[in-house]
Amino acid sequence: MTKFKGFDLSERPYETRNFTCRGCPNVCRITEVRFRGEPPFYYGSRCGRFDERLEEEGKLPDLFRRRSEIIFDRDGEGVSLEGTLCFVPHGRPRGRIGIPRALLMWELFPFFCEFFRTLGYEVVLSPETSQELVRASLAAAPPAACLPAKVACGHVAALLDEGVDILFIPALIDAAHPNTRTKTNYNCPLVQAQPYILASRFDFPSLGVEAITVPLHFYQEELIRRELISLARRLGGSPRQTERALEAARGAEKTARDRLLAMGREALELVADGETGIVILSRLYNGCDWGLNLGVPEKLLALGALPIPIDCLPWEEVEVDPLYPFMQWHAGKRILAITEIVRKSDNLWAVYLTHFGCGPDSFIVHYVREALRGKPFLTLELDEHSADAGILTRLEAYLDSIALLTRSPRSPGARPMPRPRADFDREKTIYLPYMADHNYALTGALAHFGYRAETLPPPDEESLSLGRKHATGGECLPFILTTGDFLKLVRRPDFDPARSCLFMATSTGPCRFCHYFAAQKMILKRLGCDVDFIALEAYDAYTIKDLGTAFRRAAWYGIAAVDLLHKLLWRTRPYEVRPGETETLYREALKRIEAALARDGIKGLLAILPGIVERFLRVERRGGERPLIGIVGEIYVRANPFSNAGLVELIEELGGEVRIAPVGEWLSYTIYKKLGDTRMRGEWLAHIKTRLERLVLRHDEHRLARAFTGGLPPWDLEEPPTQEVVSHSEPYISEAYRGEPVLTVGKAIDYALKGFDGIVNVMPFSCMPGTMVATASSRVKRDYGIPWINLTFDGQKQAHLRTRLEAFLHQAELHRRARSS
Amino acid sequence: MWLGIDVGSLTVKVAVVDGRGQVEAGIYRPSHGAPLRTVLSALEEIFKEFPPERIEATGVTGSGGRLIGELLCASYVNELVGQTRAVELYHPEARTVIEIGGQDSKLLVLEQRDGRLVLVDFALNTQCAAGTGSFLEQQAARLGISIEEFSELAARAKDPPYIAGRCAVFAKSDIVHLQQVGTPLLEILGGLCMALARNFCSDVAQGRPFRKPILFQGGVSKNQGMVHALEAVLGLRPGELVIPEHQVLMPAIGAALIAGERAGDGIRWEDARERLLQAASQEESGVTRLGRLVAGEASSGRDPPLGLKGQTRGFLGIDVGSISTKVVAIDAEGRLLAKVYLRTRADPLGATGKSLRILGEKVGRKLDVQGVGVTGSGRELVARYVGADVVKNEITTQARAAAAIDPEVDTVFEIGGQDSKYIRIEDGIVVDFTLNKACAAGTGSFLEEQAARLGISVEGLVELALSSPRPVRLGERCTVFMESDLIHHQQRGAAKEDLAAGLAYSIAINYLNRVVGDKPIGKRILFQGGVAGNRAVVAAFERLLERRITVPPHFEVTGALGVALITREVMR
Repeated sequence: MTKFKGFDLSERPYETRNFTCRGCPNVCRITEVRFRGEPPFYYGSRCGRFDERLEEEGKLPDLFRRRSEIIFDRDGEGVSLEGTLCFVPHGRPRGRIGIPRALLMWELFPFFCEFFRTLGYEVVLSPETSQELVRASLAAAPPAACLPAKVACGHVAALLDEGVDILFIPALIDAAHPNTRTKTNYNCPLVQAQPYILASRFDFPSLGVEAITVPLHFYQEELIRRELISLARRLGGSPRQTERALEAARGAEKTARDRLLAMGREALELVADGETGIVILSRLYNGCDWGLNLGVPEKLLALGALPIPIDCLPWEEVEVDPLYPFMQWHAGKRILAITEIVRKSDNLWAVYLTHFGCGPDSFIVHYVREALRGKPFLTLELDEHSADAGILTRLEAYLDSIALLTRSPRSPGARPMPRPRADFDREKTIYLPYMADHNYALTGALAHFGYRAETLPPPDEESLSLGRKHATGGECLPFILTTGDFLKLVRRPDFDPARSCLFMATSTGPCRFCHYFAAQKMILKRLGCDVDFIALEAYDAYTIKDLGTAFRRAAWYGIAAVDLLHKLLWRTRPYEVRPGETETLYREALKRIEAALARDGIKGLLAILPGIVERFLRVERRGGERPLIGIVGEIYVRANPFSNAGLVELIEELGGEVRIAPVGEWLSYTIYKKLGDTRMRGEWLAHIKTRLERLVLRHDEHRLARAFTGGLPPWDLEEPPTQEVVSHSEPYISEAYRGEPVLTVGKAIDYALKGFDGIVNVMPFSCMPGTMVATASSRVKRDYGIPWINLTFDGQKQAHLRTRLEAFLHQAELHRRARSS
Repeated sequence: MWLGIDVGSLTVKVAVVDGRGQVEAGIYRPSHGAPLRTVLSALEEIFKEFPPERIEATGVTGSGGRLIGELLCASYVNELVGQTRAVELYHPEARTVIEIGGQDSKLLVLEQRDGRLVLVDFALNTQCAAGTGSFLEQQAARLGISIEEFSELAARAKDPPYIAGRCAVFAKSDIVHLQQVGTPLLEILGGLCMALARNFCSDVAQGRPFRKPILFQGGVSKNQGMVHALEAVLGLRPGELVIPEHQVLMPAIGAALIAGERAGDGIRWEDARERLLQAASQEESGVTRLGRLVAGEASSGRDPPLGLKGQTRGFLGIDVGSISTKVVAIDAEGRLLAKVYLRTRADPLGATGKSLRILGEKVGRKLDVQGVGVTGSGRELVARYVGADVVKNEITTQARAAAAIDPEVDTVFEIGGQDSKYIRIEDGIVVDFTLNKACAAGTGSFLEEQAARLGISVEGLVELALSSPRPVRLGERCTVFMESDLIHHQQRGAAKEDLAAGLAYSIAINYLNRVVGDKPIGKRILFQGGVAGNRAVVAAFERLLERRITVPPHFEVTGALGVALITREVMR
């Protein structure tokens, strides 16, 4: 029998009324619809309090609620004060430590709670993420960060209101993992950078709060032990107390993990009995926080499925290294381990829950998709907008579609993450995507050692649109452009995959760069083009197996020479009397450098440089002074004119003189880091070799600088040592964070100290390291009194770029005048 | 007399200032995509009172100022620099300026240094245009009210609801939700103002402190609701937010002052006028062009006839979308008997009631209703209202309809007012699907809004698009970016038909890139949903995919048809 009320519904009067439900911190606006003579019905609640349809709840266990009880409530040990949980210290109280219920505390809280309690501190945990807290966070947090990182700001604000003495916001660099042997096991860059982001938003000293912002390396057993001991000492713990605290912390962590796994076994039994198990593939801090997951687990429960938190399944047992040897993110390893479990199971399915702007997920999802080929999984990208209708629609449709599948399709077997070749093959042509003119130095050096190498044409609109088409949407601009360049290449009629090799640098740093080649290889393979990749690893300071130091040295010479040639260009072009003269000179010089390197190597290069310098000095120049602008930031975007919309020429047109942080800076940094790594690991032979290499590098740098003497003033000739650059950055972003941000901030300060008049920091849209720098920039700008502008590029035409740069140059000009008077 | 012209993205402002900074005349006029002609007409009006010979200096500013400056041989002044100069003259005490205009928002941080007011810091809206006036304008258009009504209503809001404001698309979905739960219009408008104000603080100001006194200027400062919202968000007492007398003319005045101080030339109107006229008629160069759109065979007029003869048993399907409400009746064999398509107009219950009444008038007497199914974003609410037997999500229902229309279908494109879907079907079963993400464009209402921006109807857009010889390639990311691209091209004077065709393309490109991504597109493609009726978009798809796209009969009601079919199966 139908429940249809008839065609004449519009004749029946009804009344609607809105009210705000304050039953929980969600504060939903509820609509009540009332027909005469019928009970009213309600609409608009998030929790389902007014929703009759969600009554099925209770049949299946709510594992997410239970997980939170295990991790945070600690079985009722905490005392709740309006949502804030307080844990009394073991022993004589020393003070109150606040821990935000955000980011990695969603897994590490048991550990630190017991650690600090044993040291005699009361632990105060911020309340659950409510809609109110999310809203407050949005106003306080840096706009470019992802929602979970923003919400961390809200939790810190809540703790400050609560009046804690100490705030625990460490830089959690990497994570413990018993079953991986990769060199690094990083947390997401924005997670690592949490203390630096928070320090730019809250002035802790003036608030009378001590912030603990120490870097912690859980992946490195010896190091983390030292770090925790020194943390305990700082908090007044005696050696004995410290040992006890470490033991208690490890015990609490183990207990919690055992209980989570037991819960997971229970879930798998239910699944074996025919329940539909849906694993929420996510980070714990967004997938398990119901203030951030838009109630996905509750909705799934209400729809009759069993949602399972990712860390309740035995992820540590899955061997992910052989499958994903280059996965450097801890959360990525866990997601991919569970993906393997889902792939092999008949009754387990997956919802990939991510947040808008998540950098790592934009690449991890490539691998999950590849692994689950043939088995449907649902991706949900969430953000702060509160329309849960769309989420429900997707979940319902997903459940509908898997219910109709008579048998679970198992995907054909994990395809391991593509690997690059580590060697150069003389039989193949090596294609390098164009980043900057330094490419030609590299191809020149390769040619000198007998390799066929070609730099692809610079990226253009076609690269952009091809690259976008094959991206998942969240990847960064350099990936999209280089992917597009390769896609253009493989369409060329003369292209033969069997006789070709694509070149992509890589870095096991915490950012997305190291996934470029793997994702690109997968994309090309899907299009039916199986081609070798060569990926040079920054972690090894770009050591190449069979090419040896001679090639490295030639390449280094070439790159450093182009860096210096650029300085000549930028120093001359804005003042030239005959338009175009400098540019022509520069193009010729570049060709000569490539040819000289190819023919006669370093010797040939050094031979032609004096002539080039001399030629530049003959360019007729106009007088006049221009403000000096330093461009720093993400290496590809700052160096690549297409991706930065011709920034250098625009600044010159608007009256500035430019320097871009040199490409060689990054190479020096990789060697600097390798020195530190080998020292820390006690690899003395490698350490000494690296030391020697640095000496040679320095020597080469001096030699090149001599070749350019006369063409450039002394301050412009040689770059400061990495050590110095990094130490400039230390008060803003610590060296513990591995990657570009320390160089960007450090180089900007170097420019400021050299009397520059303005800093332009460039980055691709959604760049995680770039977001860190932009966040720190307000403090640098204030401390050094220099105009500073952050520019983000996503490949679109920038309507405001010119306006912003005009005003920026106006400021820089005022700075110049103030400086010279 | 000094002349200042401010060519913004949506409006043209002209001011005549005397040497002491006294404003003698001012014009504020929307440019409707023809900034050059608007400048021309505004100047002709000015020159009636102040003949060109009396103008001693001319300064131009604004996002379209550079081009006009070249044409008029006038002094170009950066907007921020010009603003600072005007503020220095009228409000030297100001330390913060909030300017919100059509497409641009600015924050100026000022300081007194050596007796001059200096721009020490500034911020503009980034790649996101949510913190700008067009956000409000777009929403006003969506809600069917004028921007004047908006101001008046929003000022009366008492308890504005929370609306996400980072991206216009997010705000839209919140508004739709609020409408569906019946929130009063004036409160929604108040909520929009709060969203814009918050967005300004977080996205534009990015944590910069707002030092008092604070000036609020630009077109949006006329909106009383915005004044209240900024006061609330910044925690100001009434009166602490100062609206300058010449609130929309400040940049134009600043440009005039700086041009005067630079001792620029007067204006040689005869020559300048020639150049303006010529430029207005000239086409833009350096734009990427796409192939001509060619409409396939029209599918209209061949739909099988509807209606029923004798008394019959049947089922109803209702699809309550954010933009439109669709109701269909089918018979026991699943044949379509009648359909109704109405605008939801933010009132899902009213629209459903009205649609049912119309359907009842068509077939009610003869139809013995055996079951009712509801789908669409308003399904939960409407299901209770009508007494539904089946409630289904729109992916399952669209797929069901597609499988009924063509049992061998493998791919469904569905583009509606606010949502778009891609569904992959194998043997009638959904094996994969995607919906547009929150930041993706390519939906019907985007097309409508952009058509309105070009000053044409959607029907007109189809005709124009199909007549375009050289469609312009527009951006292809989120609506905000696409909109800025459109404006960019418009300012450069691209032809309307080429932009119209570019829009049709951008819907298709965006859909293919953002919704489909690199998921497979099969051989039997059905294109469903309201936008499928747009022949220009269909042509764009066919051109891009180089294969045929089938637009089924009754493409606009497939969701309702699907849920009716599912109801028929369930109730048996």
